Amino acid sequence: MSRPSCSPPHGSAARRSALSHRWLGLALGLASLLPLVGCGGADEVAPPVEVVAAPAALPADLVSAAWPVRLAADAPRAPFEAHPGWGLLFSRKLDEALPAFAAAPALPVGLARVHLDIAAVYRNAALLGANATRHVYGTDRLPQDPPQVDFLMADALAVLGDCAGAKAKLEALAPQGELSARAAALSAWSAGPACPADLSVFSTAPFATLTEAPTPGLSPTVPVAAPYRFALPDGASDLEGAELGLLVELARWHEAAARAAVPDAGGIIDLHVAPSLLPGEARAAVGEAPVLSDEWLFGSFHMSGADVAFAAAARGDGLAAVEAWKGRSLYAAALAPAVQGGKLVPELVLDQAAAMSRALRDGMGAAAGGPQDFHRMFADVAVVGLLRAGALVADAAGEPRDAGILRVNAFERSAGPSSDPVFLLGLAAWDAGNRSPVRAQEIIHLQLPRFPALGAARYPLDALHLRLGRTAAPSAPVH
Amino acid sequence: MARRTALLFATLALGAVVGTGSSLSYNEEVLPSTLNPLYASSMSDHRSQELVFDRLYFHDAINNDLKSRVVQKFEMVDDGRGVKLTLVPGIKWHDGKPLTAKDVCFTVDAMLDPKTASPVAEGYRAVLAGCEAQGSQVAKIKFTQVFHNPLERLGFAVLPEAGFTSTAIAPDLEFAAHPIGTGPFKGSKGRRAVTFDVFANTHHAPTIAQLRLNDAGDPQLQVRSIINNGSQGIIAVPPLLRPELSASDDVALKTYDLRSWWFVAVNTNKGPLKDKRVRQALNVSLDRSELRKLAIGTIAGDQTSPCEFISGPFVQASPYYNRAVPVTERSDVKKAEALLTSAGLTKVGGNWSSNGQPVQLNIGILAPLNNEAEDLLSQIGNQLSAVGFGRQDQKINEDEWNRRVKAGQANEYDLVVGKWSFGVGDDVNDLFHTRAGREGKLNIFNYSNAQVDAILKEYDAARTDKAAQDAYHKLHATLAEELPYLFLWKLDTRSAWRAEVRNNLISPYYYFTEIDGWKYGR
Repeated sequence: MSRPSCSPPHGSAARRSALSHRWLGLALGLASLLPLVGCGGADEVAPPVEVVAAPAALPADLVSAAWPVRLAADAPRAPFEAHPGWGLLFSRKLDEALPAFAAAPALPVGLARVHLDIAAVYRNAALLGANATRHVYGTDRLPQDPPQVDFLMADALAVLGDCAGAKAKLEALAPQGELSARAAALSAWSAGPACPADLSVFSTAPFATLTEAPTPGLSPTVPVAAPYRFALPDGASDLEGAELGLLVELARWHEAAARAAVPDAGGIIDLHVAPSLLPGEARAAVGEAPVLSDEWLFGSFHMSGADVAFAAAARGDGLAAVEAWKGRSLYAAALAPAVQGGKLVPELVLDQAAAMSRALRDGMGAAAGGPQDFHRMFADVAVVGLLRAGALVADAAGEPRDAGILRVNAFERSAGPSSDPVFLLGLAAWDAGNRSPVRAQEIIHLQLPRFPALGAARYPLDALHLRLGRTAAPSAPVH
Repeated sequence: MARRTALLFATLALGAVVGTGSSLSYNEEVLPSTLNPLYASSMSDHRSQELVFDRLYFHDAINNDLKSRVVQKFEMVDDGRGVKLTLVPGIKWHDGKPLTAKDVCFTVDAMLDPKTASPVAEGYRAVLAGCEAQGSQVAKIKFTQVFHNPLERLGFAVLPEAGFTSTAIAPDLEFAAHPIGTGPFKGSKGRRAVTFDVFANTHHAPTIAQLRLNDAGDPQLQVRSIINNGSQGIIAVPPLLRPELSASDDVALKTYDLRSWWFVAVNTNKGPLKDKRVRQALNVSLDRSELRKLAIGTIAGDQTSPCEFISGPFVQASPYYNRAVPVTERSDVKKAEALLTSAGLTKVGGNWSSNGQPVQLNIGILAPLNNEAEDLLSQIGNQLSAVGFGRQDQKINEDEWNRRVKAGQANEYDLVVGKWSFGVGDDVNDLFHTRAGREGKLNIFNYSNAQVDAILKEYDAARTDKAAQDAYHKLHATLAEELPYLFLWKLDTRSAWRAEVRNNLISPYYYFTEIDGWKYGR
């Protein structure tokens, strides 16, 4: 029996980085606040463990091509430490990163990346709102719900790409006032050829609310719109709802701003957008792996251009994408050994993630002349990226529960720079789709200060919580 | 120091003894008070019982699907006022007897028996109307009304008829320590630990042979023990110790979805605390920001903190939280002094007096909370002392908390620090309603306010979700003014498990629902 392992004191054995810029230094400074871990000297005996198959080795060339390894040494990383925009993007403070990248000298790729992330946040929020609406006014609808909730349902079904469903809901509705024009527009769209692939209906009258043209570096002014109010049968209160189209409009606005920031990078942007497209939105075909500059990759949840392409392909092709990309993409290579019996096995993905983390840290140590404290943060970003890619594969392979396991594990590892609002909103949307509002509400609540328009998704989510909470099995507060 | 070292060695030695086969040892917040599901009163109780019993229906930890391990099929009957459940064949109780429909009906009958003084059962009395066994495998459960989601209402644990002499089930039977369930493990509660031994059954196939639950004890020792593999899990890691564990490759921190918020309950029936102004003065005497920094480790402005202030009896993310009511983050001593003076208190020699007597506050805390939020009791006491209140601090053990504090019988205290945890529901009526009959069962200091009672009735009677939400928003605003509680914060719960513990999905609230899939392997 082996002696139990004993972690070295964090930050004592590791070499301190000779970091010149303060943002990464600050992140590391926080890490150094960790108390030292003592190592008990007792001869305790650990329980015997079941030995499982060792994770497969990862191709060395893909590991060494990953941005954490290439940027592990101080010199290649220096440009990213010199501009505050990168630090804010790495810390996932997207609202602050936007003006930082816009300030002279503006960095177009940095701007594009932030706009793309914000676009993905809003797309995921729209999905969240639509999923919650679909449950609360669909499967969990109650007789006392006013008939106008059919409009909210139609709105949600449009976001979800269900043209026939949206049309049917609108046909059953006799809208009045403001709702009437919107219902007519949505009805025409849902019956036309643009549905579901083109959601520009939400960026045109009578839905459109944003007045500024998409401009790199700007956040559009979002008018404070009064929520929909539908009288409830008790006569004492109104049911409130919000227009989910606002979130779609914002997503499209930021995507357009990203395209305007780097006009010649349309193909790259298509790949970045693909994983978070709404269910019915048109998807560009995935071709060769793009060769991306480090500006596209530093701090990213993709290790290389091939990973960006793999993630885009995985959304539609699932396991076939793993097979097709395993020779080029580190993530696909890491996932390939976890495909067994025709499915991606979450437990093996977790093993592969741990192995990839070790390989990247070894690679970073070699590149930097020894381990440095931030190497772990970089590796953690990669681990979360891999688990997210795995979830895309499992979803496309028709294994939603396994995808959920990978999402939950990615969430467990989402801390500091690994905590990505894009992913968190995606998780919240997935939870809402599962009629599970609690974690989703926490996520929305924490992200609202940075993205106030997310409030639109909060209405149906709150409604779902209220309804499920009041009709759940009896329980009392405990502790 | 020497004592700590001795304790450490003792803990590690325990781990060595336990560590045979695929046995796992973990630290709970407290030992469960009972293994009888009808009398669960703490989260530790709920978690432990999840290992021993099957709930009729439960939610999948990942995709939230409503599932059952004991029901093979169901059929709605009587125009939706009943459901016929066909049981999975071959399920055995831990004593080897077969699970039958009679057991399901016995459980329903026990919950409906008014002599079963169980708060859990009481909740089900509004839902269940009876049960009829139709042969050995079919149970027909009757509801009090038509529900649109009837199976969601069947989340109770099934009990064995043969384990009891009647449907009037008392809390203190031998069953509470050595229960018989159909769950994956057979539980046995001792004075210092609980062991759960795997039980082979048709509907459970756990790979872990034994779990050993240990009382939490010193959090530092728990952390050392898990890092050194003396134990394999910690249910609730204090926030101050989380960075130490997250830095380890050998341990993983795991999120545990539990909506919990912390409070200081105020004895509104005692001395100067009867005066609302005095309670308001206490409220602004607390510097929550400082308390949070010292006890939780949160730095002001940290938006990712697991700890968030609250101004009422809900977490901020809840739709019942009234966002128009501001939190009191920093202390305001001048305002406190003005309030106390207006309430007729006088300050003599730096100490507040009421009717010529120094105001002495007897402050208690549910003991494990003082570990989770390090030394919170002293920190609160210190802040109140600094304002001019005398104080006496006491830790309250779980037994006393359950037996006396929750029952409204701990009148010797002026303030008690506690926390409440919730599942998907946020019903707080039992905390604030006047104690009378079935109302106010968890009203710690027997607070009574007609206006609050009326609002709670409004909530109960609400026909729409919006009306219920409006009622609780009103409640929140009223309580923030009346202050039977000084509301502190919500605090996320994180567990830690050794990396060798694999597939360890943690279910919201019940924790061990997916224990069958847990593995121990490297």
